[in-house]
Amino acid sequence: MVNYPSTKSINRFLLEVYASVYKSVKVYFRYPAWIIGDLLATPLWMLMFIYPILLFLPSEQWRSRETYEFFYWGMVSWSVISVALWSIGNAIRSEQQVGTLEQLFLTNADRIILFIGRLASSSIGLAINLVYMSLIVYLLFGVSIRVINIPLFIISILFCLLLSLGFGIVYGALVLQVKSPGAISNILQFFFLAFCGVFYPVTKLPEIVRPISYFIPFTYAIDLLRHSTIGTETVVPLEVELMLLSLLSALFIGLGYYSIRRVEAISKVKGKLGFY
Amino acid sequence: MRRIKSLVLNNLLVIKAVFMREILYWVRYPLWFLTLISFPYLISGLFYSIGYALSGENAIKYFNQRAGTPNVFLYQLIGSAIFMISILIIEDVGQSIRAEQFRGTLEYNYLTAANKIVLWGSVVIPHGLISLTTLAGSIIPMLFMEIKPVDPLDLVLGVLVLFIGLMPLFGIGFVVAALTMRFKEPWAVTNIIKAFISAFSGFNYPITILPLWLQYVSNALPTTVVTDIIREALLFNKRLYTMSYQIELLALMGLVYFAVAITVYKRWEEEARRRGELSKY
Amino acid sequence: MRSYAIETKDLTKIFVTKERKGIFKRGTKKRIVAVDHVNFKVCSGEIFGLLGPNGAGKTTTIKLLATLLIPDDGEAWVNGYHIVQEADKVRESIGVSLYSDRGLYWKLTGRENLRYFAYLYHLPPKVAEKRIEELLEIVDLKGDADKLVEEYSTGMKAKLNLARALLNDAPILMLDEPTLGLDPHSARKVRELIMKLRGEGKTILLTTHNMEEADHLCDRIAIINKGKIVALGTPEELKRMVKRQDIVVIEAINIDKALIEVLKGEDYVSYVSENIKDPLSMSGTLRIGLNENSREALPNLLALMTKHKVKVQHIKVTGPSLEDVFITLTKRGFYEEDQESRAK
Repeated sequence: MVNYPSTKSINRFLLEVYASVYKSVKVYFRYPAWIIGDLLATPLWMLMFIYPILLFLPSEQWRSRETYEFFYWGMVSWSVISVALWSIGNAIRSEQQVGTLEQLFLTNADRIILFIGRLASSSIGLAINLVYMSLIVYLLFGVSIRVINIPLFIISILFCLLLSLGFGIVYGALVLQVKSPGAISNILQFFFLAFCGVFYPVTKLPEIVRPISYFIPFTYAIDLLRHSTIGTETVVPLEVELMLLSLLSALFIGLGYYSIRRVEAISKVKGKLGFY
Repeated sequence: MRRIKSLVLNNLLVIKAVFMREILYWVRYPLWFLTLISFPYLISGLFYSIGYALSGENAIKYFNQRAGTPNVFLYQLIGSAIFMISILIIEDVGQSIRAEQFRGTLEYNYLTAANKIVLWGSVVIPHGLISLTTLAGSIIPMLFMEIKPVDPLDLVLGVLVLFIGLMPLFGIGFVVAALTMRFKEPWAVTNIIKAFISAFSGFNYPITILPLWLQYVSNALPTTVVTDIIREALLFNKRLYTMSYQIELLALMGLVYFAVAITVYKRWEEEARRRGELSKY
Repeated sequence: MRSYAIETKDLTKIFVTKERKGIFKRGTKKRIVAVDHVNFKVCSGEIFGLLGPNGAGKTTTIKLLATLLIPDDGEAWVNGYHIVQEADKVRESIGVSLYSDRGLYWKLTGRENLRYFAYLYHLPPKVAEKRIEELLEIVDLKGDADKLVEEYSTGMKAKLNLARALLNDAPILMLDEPTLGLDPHSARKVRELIMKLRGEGKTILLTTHNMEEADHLCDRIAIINKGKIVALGTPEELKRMVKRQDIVVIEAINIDKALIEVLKGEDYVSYVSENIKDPLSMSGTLRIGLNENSREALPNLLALMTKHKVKVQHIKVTGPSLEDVFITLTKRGFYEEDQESRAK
C-alpha cells in the first residue's frame, strides 16, 4: 500500500500548481472556438466603447495618440476586472456545474491553488488580447501603443493578476450560493468601471464620491498600469502605491483562503457541494 | 375543420408550455430583471461620466454637435435599452438549444409530439414580453421626468416597431441555436454576433460618424433601423407613421431572417439526428 | 486508537428543501432527515454493504464519511480519524467513487483526467504515469484513454470514476453504486476487482440497491431505509431473520392492483411485493411469501392469476432473499419504497 500524506512540502505545492495550470491551459486550448470568438469580438467591443465616448471630445482629440492609448489601457484594465469577476469569480461555480467540485474537495490540494490554473489561462487570453488589440488600434486609428516603463508595467500586471485571483476567489465564494450570479457580476462590473478609474483618472470624479475609489484595490492597480504605460500621475506617491498594492494583494489572497474554506464548510453543512 | 382546430389547440398548448417555462425561470431568478432595467441607466451613466471626465463642461456641447441633441441621457438611454434587449435575445435564443442539450432535456423535447418550429419559436413571446418590460422600465421614467406626452397611436406603433425590429434577431439567434446542435459552442458565435451588432448599430452614437463603408454595414442591421426610428420618435418628436418606409424595411428583414433561420434549423436538425448529436453535451 | 476502519455513532444529516408551486408563491420549507442516527462499524479488510432503495440515505452516508458533508449530529471515524476534526487525514485514507455522469472534465481525455487528479493526490509524475497505466488496464479503458471524456459512454465514465478512486491506493474505498450503468460483462469485472481489492487487504464500503450484488459481494450488510439502519449482519444472518418459508417469485404480464389486494387477503400469504418493470403492459415480478408449504399454495395462486387475467411467464419457488428481509422489516419492497420516495 502506498501512502501519500498531505503534509505540505515545496514539491507537493509545485505539483498542485502544475496540475491546476495543466488542466486549465489544456481545457482553454481545447475550446478553439472561444479563442477565435474572443479574438474576433474584442476589437468590436472596443469600438462599441470608443465611438460613443468620441462624441464628447473635440475633433482634435479624435486624432490624438493619448486618446487611443487611454482607451486601449482602459480596455486592458477592464479585462483585468473581467478576469476577477467572470473567470476566477465564476471558477468555483463552474466546477460545481461540471460536477467536479466534490471530486476536487475530496483531495487535500490547497483550495486556492485549485483555481490558480484559471489565472494562467486568463493570463494567456489577456496576453493574446494585449497584442491583438494593439494591432487593431494601429490598423484602425494609426496609433502605436507604447509602454514607458517596462519593469513597472510587468509589476503592475502582476499586481493586477494577484488582485484578480484574491478578489475573484472571495467573490466566487460569496456568490456560490446564488444560482445565477451573472446579474450581480454585471452590476458590479459597472460599479468598478465607474469608480476604479478604468477609462478616466479617479481624480476626475466629483470629490464627494472619490473616497469610494480609494477603497477599491483595483483603483491602485489600474492607476499603476496607466502610470507605467503612458506616464500619468499616480493618485498617491509611487512608493506608497506599490506598498499598498503589496498589502492589498496579500490581504485578498488571505481573504480568499478564508472565504473558500468557509464556503466549503457551509456547503458541506447544507449539502450543496454537489448541487448544480 | 376539426383537424385544424386540433392543430391550433395543440400548438397553443406548446406555446403556453414554453411561455410558462420561460416565465418561471425569470420569476425564480428575479435579479435579472434588476439587471435589465438598471443596465441602460448604468451604460448611459458610464458613457456620460467618461465623456464629462475627459471633456469637462464642453462635453454636452460636442455631443450636441454630433448627435443633434443636448439630451445626452435620453439619447443614450434609448440606445442602451435596445442594446440590452438585443443582447438578451441573441444570447438566450442562440444558446437555448445548447442549454437544453447541456441539461439533457433536448432529447425529451424531441420525444414530444410538439411541432419543433413552434416549440423553439415560442420563446419569442416570453422574451418579447420581457423586452417590452425592460424598455418600458428603462425609458418611461425618463419620459415622465421630461413630461413628454406620448400619442397612444405612436405608443402602439412603437411596440409594433420594436417587435418587428427584433424579429431578425430571433432569426439570427435560431441560426446560431441550430448550428450549435452540431458545433457545441454557442458562446463563441453569440459573442461575435453580439459584439458586431453592439459596435455597428449606433446604439450610443449616430452612425454618421463612421467611415462611409461602415455606414452601409450599419444600415443593413435591423437594430440600427429600430434605434433610429425610436430615437426619432422620442427625441426628435417625429411621428411614427411618417417612417413607414423604415418600418416596412424592418418587416421585410424580419421575414427574410426568419425564413433563413427555419431553413438552417431544419438542415442541421436532420444532421444532428443522423449523427446522434441530440444527446451529446 | 480506534480499531475499526469505519465507525459511526448516531450519525445524522438533515436537508432543508423548498417546495415551489405556482408562479409567484413563495416556497415552503421542508426538512428531510436523510441519515437518521446511524450506527455501524466496518472492520478492516471487509466488504461492507449499504443496501437500500433510492432515497434511503446510502449516498448521503458515504458523503458524510468522505467529508463531503458535515453531519448535523453524531460522529464518525474513518481509519481512526474524526470526519470533521481530522478531515484532511480522512481524505488521505480513502478513495471514493461517487455515482455520477458528471465529475469529469469533458475537454480532457481519460488519461489527462487521471493525471490531473493524481497530481492533486500528490503522486509524483513518474509514479503517477505508472499508476495510471495500471489502472487503465484494470478498468479496461486503455484503448479509450486518449479520447476526450465528452465522447465517453456512461459505462466508460463509470470505469474512469472507479480508476480515479484507486489512484491514491488508499486503505479504505468508498464505492457508491459502482456497477450502475455497466453492461453485465463490465459489472462482473468490477465485482471481481472489488473481491481482488479485498484480498489485498483493503476495506470497502459499498452502496448498492442491487440485492444480488450485495448478497454476493458483501461480508456484512446494513439495510438502510428512510435514513435508518433497519438490519445489520452477514447475508446469512439477515436471511435467517425471515421466518423459514417458501417464497414464490412470479414473472407476469398484466399484474393489477386488485390481484395484489386479493393475494394479501389470503390466509396462506404472509406478504406480497411487486416490482413493475413496464407500466404500459404492467409486467414485472411478484414476490409472494407463503405461510404454508408452497406445494399446497401453488394451485390457488395460479387460479387467482387466471381469474385476474394475469399472464404468468415464469414461476419459481425459492428461499428468502435480502429483498424478503427488507419486506419483513419494512412491510414493503424496494420497488414500493422507490415509488414512494419519487412521489415525495
